[in-house]
Amino acid sequence: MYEIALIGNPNVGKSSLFNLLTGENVYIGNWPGVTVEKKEGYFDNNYKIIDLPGVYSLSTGAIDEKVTMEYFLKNKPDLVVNIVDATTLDRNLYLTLQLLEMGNNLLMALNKIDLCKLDYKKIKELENILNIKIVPISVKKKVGIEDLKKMIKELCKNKNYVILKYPKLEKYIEEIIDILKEDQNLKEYNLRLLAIKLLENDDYIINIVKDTDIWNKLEKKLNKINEELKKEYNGKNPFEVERLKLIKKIKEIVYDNNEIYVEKDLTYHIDEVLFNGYYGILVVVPLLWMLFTFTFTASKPFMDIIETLINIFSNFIKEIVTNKFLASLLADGIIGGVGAVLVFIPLLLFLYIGISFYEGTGLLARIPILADMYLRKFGLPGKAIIPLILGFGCNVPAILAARTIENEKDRILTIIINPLCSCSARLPIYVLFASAFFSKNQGLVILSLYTLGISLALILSKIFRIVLFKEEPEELTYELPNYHIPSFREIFVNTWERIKHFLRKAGTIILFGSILVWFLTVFGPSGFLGEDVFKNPELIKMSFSAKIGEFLSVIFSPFGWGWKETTALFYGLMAKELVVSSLGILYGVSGDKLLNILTKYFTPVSAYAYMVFTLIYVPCLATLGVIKQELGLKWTIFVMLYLIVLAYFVSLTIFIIGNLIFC
Amino acid sequence: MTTLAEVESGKEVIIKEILAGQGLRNKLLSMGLREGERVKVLINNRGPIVVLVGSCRLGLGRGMANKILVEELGE
Repeated sequence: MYEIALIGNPNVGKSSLFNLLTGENVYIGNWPGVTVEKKEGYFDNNYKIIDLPGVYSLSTGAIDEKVTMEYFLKNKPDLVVNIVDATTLDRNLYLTLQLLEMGNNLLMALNKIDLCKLDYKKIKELENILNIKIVPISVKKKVGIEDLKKMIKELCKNKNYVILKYPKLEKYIEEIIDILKEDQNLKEYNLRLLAIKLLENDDYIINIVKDTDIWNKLEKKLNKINEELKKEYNGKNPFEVERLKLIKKIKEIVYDNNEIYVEKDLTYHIDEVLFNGYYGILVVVPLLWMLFTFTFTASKPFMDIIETLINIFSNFIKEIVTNKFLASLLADGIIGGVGAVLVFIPLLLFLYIGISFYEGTGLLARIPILADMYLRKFGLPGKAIIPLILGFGCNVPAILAARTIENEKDRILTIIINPLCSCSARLPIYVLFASAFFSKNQGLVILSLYTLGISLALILSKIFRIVLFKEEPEELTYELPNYHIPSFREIFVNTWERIKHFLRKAGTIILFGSILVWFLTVFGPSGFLGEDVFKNPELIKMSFSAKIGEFLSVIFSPFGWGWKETTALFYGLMAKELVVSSLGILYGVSGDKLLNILTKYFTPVSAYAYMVFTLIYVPCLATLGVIKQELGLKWTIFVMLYLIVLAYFVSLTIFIIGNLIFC
Repeated sequence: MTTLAEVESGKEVIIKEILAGQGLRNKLLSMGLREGERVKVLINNRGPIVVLVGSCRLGLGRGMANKILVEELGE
């Protein structure tokens, strides 16, 4: 089996080439320790292709770059396929040179050959300068793909390792490698790459060698070399200077002229409107609204179908299984839990289709730039706009949409404040309480909760930015691809793989959480209570969950909420909309009677505080599951804790002030 | 010399200097914004700036554009 690494700048057609090479044989996972998507595929069984993240250079700023760097530090692929955009050759060459500096068996796939004037002779010249093989291709027109496959096989067998050496710098690289060799712990690393990056003063790389025994010796040597290079290169990064010099030389040989010519095409005119600065943002609002509506409205009927089928199935199980306990475990516990996971499939399907569509059109690169000037004030990156908006529908797809944010700190911040965007599952709670207590101002009361949620999200992101992250959101520079109509394939490719990843990771947490909640409901200190517990308030009073509610209700005594109200909050952890139905079960009433009975247990002020509490406190299990999938356990616990504390204090403040004003 | 943020839409400039730390500088370089490179400012109104480098469009925030010193080219 040969391992082939596919690498290139963003927007050069790398993903499309990957798909052309591997067809359906794709596996999607994560790179170790991070949530950057890792795609692997195969062709002709014997050739494994690893799709590295799209990067402009080998550096260690953004998380994508770190993943790529780590890969080359610790792996030696049999072949590196570097896809290069022939229309912006000089920009792409920067990465190519870096790949050659560290030494690689490299094949260049020169894409978009149909759009540029490079002829056979010029390509030959470029091959000679770089001492590598080049295959001209067009991913869009599917030209040259078979030639590329043939050359990949050829080069895997007869390897041609090339090391690009800059005469003035080579001796320094060797000196550093000699020191690095002395340390056994560094054995698994690509020492040449380490040496080059150390000479470039890369902090991330310095941290790798800092704890080794050779560091003292190395540091002395580096300081001495840096001193010498500083004089020689006027304080500039010597590698940067050498790379740009070589690129300039190549440009002179390969290009005829260097004229910039802009066609005032459709892209130009659309961008003129979008980047107007005054009304550009007005175009973005309907675009976001369309994405929101598409994701949540289009998926609704499918979610309903799944829910209905699950109900039918679980009723069927209850009919045929005679053992009460077993029937309840299967029907309410397991099938209910599986159902809670499955309903997300349509939601995620439509989310991914919507996002890929926007990505394919070229809009997804532009919306964040426009949102950036507003969100930056609150410490959020421009790309947080899509998760923020989607959060009002459901926090699960919203948090998954934060994947497009490359900067790790920016992404963490965007995710941890997302639960404050009031998702649609919280609406039934607001509607119930608003109609019971504020029938004249229902709309206003509900609106005030949404406003409170988003205000808290923005205030907290500002606070977290200052306290936790201490640095500004990353400055934006985006490549803006031309607008075009995305292909059907582009939209659907990999969608199912991504959903499978969610089912595996977050799905397990949701399923086990549901079964746990089922257990706490049907069991009590006295044992199995029977499945009637879901209808009978006297039975549910004896369950573990009621005991938990009773225990926790002490904390809520200032609000005047008892064990029933607290137990309903406990069920809200499972899914927020369950607060309403559990209140019904706990009070033993439903419909209009529930409205009446609420007024016995709540005052208008404590009802409002209850709504505020359900808005803020711990997000539902599915959201927690997806936060765990994206950020790990530590951040998940952090989110739970800060939200509980925040919920308690905000609702208590509102409760006290409310009582002072109205009582 | 002015900064990229002050160049009017439609004008061509040559990049003279990039006033940024190693990390940001490397990012701009690798995206094609290099000293000595010819760049056309396509759109520069109030919001983000769109420039053309080679055949590729880049969108820059104004903060970033303020760090790029340029010289305007005549017609």
